[in-house]
Amino acid sequence: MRSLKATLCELCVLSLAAFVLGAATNAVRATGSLKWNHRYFETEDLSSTQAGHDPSEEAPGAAKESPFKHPYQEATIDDVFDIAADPDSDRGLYVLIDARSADVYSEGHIAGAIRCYHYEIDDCIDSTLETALGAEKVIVYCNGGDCEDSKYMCRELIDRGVPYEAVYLYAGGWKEWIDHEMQFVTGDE
Amino acid sequence: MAASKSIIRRIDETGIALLVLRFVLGILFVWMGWNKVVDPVGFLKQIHLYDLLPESPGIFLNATAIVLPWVEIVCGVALLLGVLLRGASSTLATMLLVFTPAILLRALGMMAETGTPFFELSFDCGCGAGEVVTWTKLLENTALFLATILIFASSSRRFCLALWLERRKPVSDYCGRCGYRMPASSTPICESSGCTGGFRSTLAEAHELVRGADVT
Repeated sequence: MRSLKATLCELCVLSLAAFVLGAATNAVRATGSLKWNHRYFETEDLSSTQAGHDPSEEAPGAAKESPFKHPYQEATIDDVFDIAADPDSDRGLYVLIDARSADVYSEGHIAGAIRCYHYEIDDCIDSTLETALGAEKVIVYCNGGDCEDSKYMCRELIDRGVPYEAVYLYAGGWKEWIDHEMQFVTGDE
Repeated sequence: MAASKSIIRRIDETGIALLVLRFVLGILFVWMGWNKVVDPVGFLKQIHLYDLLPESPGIFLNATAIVLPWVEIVCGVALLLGVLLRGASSTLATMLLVFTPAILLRALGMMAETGTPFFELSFDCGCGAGEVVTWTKLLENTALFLATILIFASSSRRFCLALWLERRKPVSDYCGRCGYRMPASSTPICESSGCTGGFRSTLAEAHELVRGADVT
């Protein structure tokens, strides 16, 4: 009994130490800090439901190339190419959003894409919304394949007022873009 | 049975086996925990893939991603130093008991989905070691689990910081005659039913006496 009590005390000490260290590092880290209560994996699209769209129904115009389920309209590589090839002509009407982290974005991204990482949303959402709210079409991409960051980014945009009809998910993502040997740019902008 | 028990006990008493296990597990868990600390978002995504915790509210997944890596590091350091050994080993054993079947289930799911043979499956299990071959990971985790059990069961405290700290106590909690842990009280006389005339002494003396104790 005594031994069990001692073990439980040790468990408490270790857990408390881990909690304090975890909370402290999360609070002070410059990048990758997580919010304790944020729902990073919210998939129920409340806004689109309010707009009359049933998330369980197939989205209009969806090619459904994505390996994961999502309720958003899909954009094809041709849609993205049209925007990337001549972003000036429709500046403000069409917006490309890269939903990947800063280091990956710097290594290469589609020309004209603005970066907004779902897990560091506070750093970028205001500036992203400034552009996205007035846009006719907002296409979001991430790595492609089974990367779901673009899906969660779409939800964040819709929850913050971007109309469901304007949001598109480019399921092929960066991987498909590179596989097709499309042009890209590097750096932070 | 008695002979084998004696051999196991003698090996344990040397403290060497415990020391080796402590160092191997300690270094491994500190390294794996640190790999998770430097990429909390990556770890969060991995935890989410296991479907062990609800997505909503977010506190469950997020708290696990923030705290669990430090649990590994803290327990790893405890093993390396030789303190709180029972607590550290039981914590790590519990984690292995939860995550190893989870890895197996995820592997079986991928096998069903992709048709890849089990022994050719590999994926990033979120353990901090990157993409690993599944069956070797499962074997490794099983071995680690057994190692944590051995550490938990060990009675030795040789080469442990805990023993060094205990020796520095001016008054020990242990009877110098029979090694029995004496209740916290002012009386210096051991009240163990198997001991007469015992008295408080340092833990080191108690250990020495217990080895050849003639408890009456």
